[in-house]
Amino acid sequence: MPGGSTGGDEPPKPTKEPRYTRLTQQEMHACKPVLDATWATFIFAAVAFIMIPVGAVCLVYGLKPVEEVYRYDEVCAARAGFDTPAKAQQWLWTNQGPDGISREQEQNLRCTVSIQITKDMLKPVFVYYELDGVYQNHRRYVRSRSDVQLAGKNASAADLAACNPQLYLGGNTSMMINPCGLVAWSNFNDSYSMSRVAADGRETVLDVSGQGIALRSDVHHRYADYYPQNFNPFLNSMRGGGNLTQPQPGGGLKELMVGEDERFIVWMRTAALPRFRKLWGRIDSDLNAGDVINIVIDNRWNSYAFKGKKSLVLGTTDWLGGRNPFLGIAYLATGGASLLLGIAYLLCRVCVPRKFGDPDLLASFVARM
Amino acid sequence: MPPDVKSIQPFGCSWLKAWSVRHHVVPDRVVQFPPEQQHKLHALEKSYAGNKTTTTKYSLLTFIPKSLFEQYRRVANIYFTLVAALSLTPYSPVRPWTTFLPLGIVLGAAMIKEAVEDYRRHKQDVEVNNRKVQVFNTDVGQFETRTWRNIHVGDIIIVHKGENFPADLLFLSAENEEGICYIETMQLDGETNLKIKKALDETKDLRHHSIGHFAGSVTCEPPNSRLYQFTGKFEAMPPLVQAPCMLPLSPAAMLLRGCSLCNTHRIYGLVIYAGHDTKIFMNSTQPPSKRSRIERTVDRIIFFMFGLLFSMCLTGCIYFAWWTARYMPDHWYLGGDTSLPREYDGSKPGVVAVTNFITAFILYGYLIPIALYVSIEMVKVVQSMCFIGLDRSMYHPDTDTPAVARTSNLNEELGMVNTILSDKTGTLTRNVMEFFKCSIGGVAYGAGVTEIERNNAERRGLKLDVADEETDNKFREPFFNFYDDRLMGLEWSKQPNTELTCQFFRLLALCHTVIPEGPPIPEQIRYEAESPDEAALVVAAKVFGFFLVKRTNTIITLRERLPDCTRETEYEILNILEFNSTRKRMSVIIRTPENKIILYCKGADTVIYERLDRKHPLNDQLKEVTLQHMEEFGSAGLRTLCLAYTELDPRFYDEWNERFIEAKLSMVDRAAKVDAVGEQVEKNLRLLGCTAIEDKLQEGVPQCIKTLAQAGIRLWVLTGDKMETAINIGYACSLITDEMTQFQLTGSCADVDLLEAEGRMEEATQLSVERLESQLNKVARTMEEDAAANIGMQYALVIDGKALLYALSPRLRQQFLMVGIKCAAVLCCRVSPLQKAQVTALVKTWGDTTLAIGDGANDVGMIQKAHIGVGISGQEGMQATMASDFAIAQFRFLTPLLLVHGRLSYKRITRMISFFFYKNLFYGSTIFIYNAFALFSGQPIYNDFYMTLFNVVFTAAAPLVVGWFDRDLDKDLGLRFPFLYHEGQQNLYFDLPAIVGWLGMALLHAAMTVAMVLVGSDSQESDRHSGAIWSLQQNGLLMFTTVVITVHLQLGMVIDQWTWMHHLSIWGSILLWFLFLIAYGAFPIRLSSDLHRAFDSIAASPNYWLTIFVVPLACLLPVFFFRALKRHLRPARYQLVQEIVERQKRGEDIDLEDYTDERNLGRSKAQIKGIMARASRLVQRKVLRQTTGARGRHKGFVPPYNTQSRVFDINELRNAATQVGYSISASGDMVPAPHGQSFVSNAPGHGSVIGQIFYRASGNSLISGTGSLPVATHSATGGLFGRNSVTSLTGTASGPAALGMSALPGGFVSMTAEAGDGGSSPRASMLQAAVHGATGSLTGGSLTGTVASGAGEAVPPVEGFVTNPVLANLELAFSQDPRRHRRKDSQLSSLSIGSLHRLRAGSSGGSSRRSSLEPGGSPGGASAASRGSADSLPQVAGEFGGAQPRSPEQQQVQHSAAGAASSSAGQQHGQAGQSSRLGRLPVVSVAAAADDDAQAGAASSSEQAQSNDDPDMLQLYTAALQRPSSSKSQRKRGG
Repeated sequence: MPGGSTGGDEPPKPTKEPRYTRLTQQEMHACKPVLDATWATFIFAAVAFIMIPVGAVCLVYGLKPVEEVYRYDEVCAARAGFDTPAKAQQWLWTNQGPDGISREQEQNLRCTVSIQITKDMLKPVFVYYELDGVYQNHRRYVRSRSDVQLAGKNASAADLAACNPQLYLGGNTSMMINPCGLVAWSNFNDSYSMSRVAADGRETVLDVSGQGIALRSDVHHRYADYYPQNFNPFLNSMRGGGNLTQPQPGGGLKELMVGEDERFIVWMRTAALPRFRKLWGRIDSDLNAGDVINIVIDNRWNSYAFKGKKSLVLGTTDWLGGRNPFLGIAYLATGGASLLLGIAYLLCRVCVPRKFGDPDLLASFVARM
Repeated sequence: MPPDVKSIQPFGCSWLKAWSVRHHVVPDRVVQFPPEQQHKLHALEKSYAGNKTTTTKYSLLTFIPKSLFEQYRRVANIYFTLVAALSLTPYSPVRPWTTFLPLGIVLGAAMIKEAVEDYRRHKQDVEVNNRKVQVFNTDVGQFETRTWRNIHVGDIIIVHKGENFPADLLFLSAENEEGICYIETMQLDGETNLKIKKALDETKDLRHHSIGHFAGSVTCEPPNSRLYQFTGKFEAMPPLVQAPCMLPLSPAAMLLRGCSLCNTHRIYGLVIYAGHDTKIFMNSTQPPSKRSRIERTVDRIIFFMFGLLFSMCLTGCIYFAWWTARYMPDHWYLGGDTSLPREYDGSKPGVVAVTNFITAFILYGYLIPIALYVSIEMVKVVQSMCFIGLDRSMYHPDTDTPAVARTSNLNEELGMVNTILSDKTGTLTRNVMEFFKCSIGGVAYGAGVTEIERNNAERRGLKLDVADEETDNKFREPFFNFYDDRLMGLEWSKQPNTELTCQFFRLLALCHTVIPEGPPIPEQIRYEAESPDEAALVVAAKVFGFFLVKRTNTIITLRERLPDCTRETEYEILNILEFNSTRKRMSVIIRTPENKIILYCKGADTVIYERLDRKHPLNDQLKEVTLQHMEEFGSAGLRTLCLAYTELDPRFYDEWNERFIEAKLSMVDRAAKVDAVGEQVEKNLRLLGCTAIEDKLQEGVPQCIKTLAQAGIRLWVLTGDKMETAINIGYACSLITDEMTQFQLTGSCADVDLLEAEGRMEEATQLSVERLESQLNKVARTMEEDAAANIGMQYALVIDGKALLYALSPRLRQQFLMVGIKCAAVLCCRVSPLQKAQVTALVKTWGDTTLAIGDGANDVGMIQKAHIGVGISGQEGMQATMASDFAIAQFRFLTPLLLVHGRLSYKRITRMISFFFYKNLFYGSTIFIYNAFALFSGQPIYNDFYMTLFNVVFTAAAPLVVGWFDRDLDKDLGLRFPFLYHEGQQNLYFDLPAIVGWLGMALLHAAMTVAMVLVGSDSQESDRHSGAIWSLQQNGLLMFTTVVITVHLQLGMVIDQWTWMHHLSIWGSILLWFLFLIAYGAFPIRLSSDLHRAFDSIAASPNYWLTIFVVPLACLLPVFFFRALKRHLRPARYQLVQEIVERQKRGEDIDLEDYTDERNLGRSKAQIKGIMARASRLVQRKVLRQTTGARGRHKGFVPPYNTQSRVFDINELRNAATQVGYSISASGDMVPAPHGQSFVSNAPGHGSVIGQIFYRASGNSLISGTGSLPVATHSATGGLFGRNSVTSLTGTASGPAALGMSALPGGFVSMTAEAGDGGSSPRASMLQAAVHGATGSLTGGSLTGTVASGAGEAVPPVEGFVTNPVLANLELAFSQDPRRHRRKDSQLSSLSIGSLHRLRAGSSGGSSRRSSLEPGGSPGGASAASRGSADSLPQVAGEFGGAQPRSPEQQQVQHSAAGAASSSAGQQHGQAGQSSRLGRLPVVSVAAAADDDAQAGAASSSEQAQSNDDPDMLQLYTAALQRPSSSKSQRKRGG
């Protein structure tokens, strides 16, 4: 406020004069690029010349991996003589029973399919299952888990609240489910055993390993090694998914720890879209073109209820991941577009030339006022 | 009102009737004294408002609701509150604290700010209410002290000197005999001069002891806001008067709150209006809380976003409910068969829809940028505190005042101003009057150069060597800025007319109402004057040695320093005939010590000249030259007064005095009678001279106004001053220029006054309205016609307060606005504070962004009303500053405030806001689009933690940096290229297309991003060698990363200048995201949940890194292409300037002079128009004079600034032109009615033929003259205003023939001279053809000399002098009032183009202002010229009275241009014309001189008109060329 001290005889006269700083006087050093023809052309060209080679490389490697897909849910149902999803579901349920089943009865659900390998697949060959129409991204589903519990920490009630209704077995609060929640409850429990029939007719059993298929960060940091409690005590009990058991070669079931069952860990990583694949195992041997893979499927997981699809996928990867040309195309398209737009821009400059920094044009602005 | 009022009171009935008609609803106010009676009589009426005042916005009780209401005027606040409430429900996808915290901060901070501000106001109120005042207690019969708040209507109070009036008072008496007091109205209307108030004669003798005798009642109008009006009557009762009687009350008896008492010991007053009923409060409007246009637009965008949000939510919830009901039971993995919560219960789809709606409403709420308001506040606070407040270019060292942004709301509004409404006094001017020049006895004194002269010169590129007079002047003091050796000290006594000079000074010392104060020492005395002008005159007298020492009511004592002695003289004041606006003069009659009775009179030239003694010989001598001086002074921007005196015969005086006293005592029509009697004595005056006073402009005002005009800002000046003063100032600060057509609208005219006098108010109003309406129509019509004719005319509108009263009425205001908007300048005079606010409101209705600037309390209303209020700080009054939004110390600081800070703030804030909406819509859309793949279940693809942080962390810094530091250009370029300001005015960065562009881009980017991420990285794809597949969380991280990168790159693309802050904020923000991911992922899983070690899950994926690179580039590529293309094809203004700066940086030399100044652009066009307009006006004036016989002078008070520019109506001009056979062409030119015709003029015999063409047609025009006599001369002037025309001149002469011509740029001239069969005349010569202009060419110049005898010779044509900036010179010649440079007896006066050219080119070699004009030759010189042969025509150098000799350099120039540009030869040839007076044809004067025998000269002379065929035409021509002579000769003729 003005008012000023007029009697400023004392030496350090207080003044309201603002001090000079680059900041307050708005004179900070600045880089002032002007988007002229050179710059624009350079940018278009630079984008094109970086993107196109990268795109080419990506495309090559994106197309390199091999993939074999086989949808088996309908096939298996049909083989058992059930042609509608409703009947198929009934078939599934009958053979699983409401409260525990015998392995023998489950044999009824087993079906064998064959896949012909069309191209050589170098090891490791990955085995995926692909589900379609399964909304793992439904809000209720995604939230229904407890990361704290899975990490082996003591979970509070608040941590677990989201797990409802799969929090207490049968609603009995003394029987807390661990791992709780819908995601774990609906754990995918189809299983596959494979054998390879080589071109010479020799059949060898393929070892499909369930180890090393989950992200290392998940295995190490997010899932603790503990045995589940009250978790799907019977296979498909309450019409859910499987539990963390593994059939032993010698028969019988072995219970796995949470951090040990990588298939479970993979399942727990919910997918972003209703059609998704998940890694089920890896085969550490090469498959050659012409090989026939026989797969015995334990068709347990119920996709018939909602007319979902189940497929089995064999695939290889390279450094860029699985077979997916998208990245290459995206790069090539962007680079190409940049090239084209750059040319268009230059053409436009040629057709409608304008002097750079033309004061006359400035004048026209003024005159227009 | 009792019905018998009329019968009681003899006059004043008109008032009463008038006001009873006007205010029949509100009862009149009746104030009784003593108060008991009042209570008795008006027991039923409610008592009037008390004197307690409050100016606070809130009270304790209303603070919370009212200030909350204020906050919720922002839509977004309502929304955020709603969201916060909803986030408490179980359906919220986010945690409640994330919504409550920002809301609380925003609301709380704003409310605390309000509270603090209001508390400050409250403290001020308390202080005012508790001031002490002495009040008469009727019960006790004594005065007692009370506080202001305890004063009531009907109290009698005492106010002492220097105190403020606590309420509106009726002035009863002062402690002096006359019953007058002086008041200062600074706070009320901003004027610092004193005003005299007069008590009623009946009450003026009341004193402290006798105040109890006062009895009566005042009946007056109810409280209103009219400052200068008051109607009421006073019913006096015994014992005050013998018998009860009615007395009228006028505003002169009212003392208003807000004023203070000066120069009077104390006064007694009766409280009429108190507290909020007082005029000052009625004039004040509630301080509104202002919001900028941008913010209102932001609200609208937010509304749009709401719409979008609702439609998204609706879509989602309907789909989700349908899906839930239909399919969810089948999807067993969703837990469909066990105890469903209601939001997933498919059996109740309605409930599902509603709950999902709530979820979605919160989730998609990211569309609405929550951080926006906080960011805007932060940005604006920094802008106003750090940039505006600390800007050194707006710091005024003299008053130690920096600029202050009192509110930070309106920074960007500063960049959008269309109209500035400015106060005059104290804002444009310093309100410091200085005695500057004078003319005594026909001699002009004073050597100063006024600012306007300097400005004019600068505008024309002349450099004035301003003498160091100012600094050298040891006599300089306040009110006095005059120096002239001839007068200073006692030098004046050596001047001729010593007696006259003495009288002159004596008049200055005696004829005034100034009161000296303080010790009678010249250095210490102070003069209290009603107006600063008067003080200036008295101070001048003091310096000249006539020192006003003392003044009583009857005696003025002067200390006179005469050549022989210094003495103290007492002059007895016999009468004072006061100044008023109808008389326009004031006189005093004094008795000298020698017992002579002398009347001194000063006033407007018109009124004085009418009263001059016709028989007095000196008068005749002085009249002309003094008038000339006055006009010179006037055009230099000075306020002039004409001074005269007369000696009165004592007998006559006595007789007259009786009549005068009688008139003074008369009760009916006193004023008129006094005036009439005064008239009888103010006659037979003897002219003394005139004075010229400068009202100093504030520093840099003209430059500032010019810059603002270039920036396309209209300026309306609203002043309480008189019209004439306002106009003068308008010229001085180059608000009005000569090129403008000026319209004046006045409210008063004889008819209306008459009706008012008769009290027929309604009819008067009716008549005024109709008059004004027709005036407005006329103006509008003129404008339309000009527009239709494509005349690029500029207009100025001057309107006075009375006319404004009607112009603001609902009936006329639209019309008024339409006219005003089209004017480059509008001057409103005599405006009340409320009217200022009303005008502001009116301009606002047009949709303009208005800025009001003022310094006084009278400007408060306007300041509050306008979009932006600016107060002038550092001066006495604080009211304006307190009410303003920005306070600056000087008017000129407006340019940096608007053109730098406003422009930058606008750009920054709009860019920031656009970016905010862009990023939020982009971001929100990705959430929405993804949700479509998740059944609209409300599952965000992002984790809710980083989703919340997007706005407040990851993208918060960059917009802030843009808002703080972004610049498109260095800041000084905003001042150098004022037109850059248009971008803001037109709101180019925040109008619909711009916003749609940003939002469209957001949607495009959202679509591209989601598509590329979900297609390329979908849940079936493995992204790494280990075969793992993309999951929801990874997809979310990927998409979020691309969004963050894209928005920052997008911002980087629009940024023009990169400071380290920009780099830090943009790259830093991106980096921050990764750091966050790493750091937060390392937290315990309880905190980080699904982000735990999330970075690990993507870091190993080459796919991820490649994708975050390609997606942003793909998004930005089309935008970049579009921007590059647009920049190339339709570059914005600022981009061009950037390029130019870039070029300059590269070292290229670009002459930008022409491009920074709008007026230089299209110069020729504008100038031609201006010249033509002026010529037209001159013609009109002339014709008007001829037709009316009147002198045609303006009726104004002070000699008008520039009489020549007072042409108001082009229609009149057209009529006038038609009368003399001309028409006005579409381009504003005068053309001879038969368009493009050839003039063939044959004048056999001795004679010259002169043809003139004014035309602009593209046809040929031929001027041919044939003379057949031996010494015939032909001179033709053609194509003066021809452009693209061919003018062919053919002269056939049987004698010496000469042709001369001159053309303007682009004119092609062909000349043929045929010297006929000569015989006796040996020689024909073709003289000069001056073709001016770069494009002009002299195509022909053939000389066909048919030479008969050997003696004959043909003189080859002289090469045309091609001057480039001749137009400038031409204009200079026109606009420099030639009268000022006219030598009275000079016969020749012409301009030398050569010298002008040199001058303009900047050869300043000792050139002074005066040497810019090269007067033509003296008579002797002229004859010399005529003797010269054509090719070696010596340039005649004449000296202009008192001017310096020309420099050698200039002479040289002239010689080089000899015979080319201009020459004049003037010698009368017997038969050629009666008059030898040569017209002063500046610049284009063409003369032929071709006579080797010194026999004949030919001249194109205006006075030759009389011998010409078409005198009118000739006169028009000369008139167009030279303004002066016509009027002069006319005056001679007329008088």
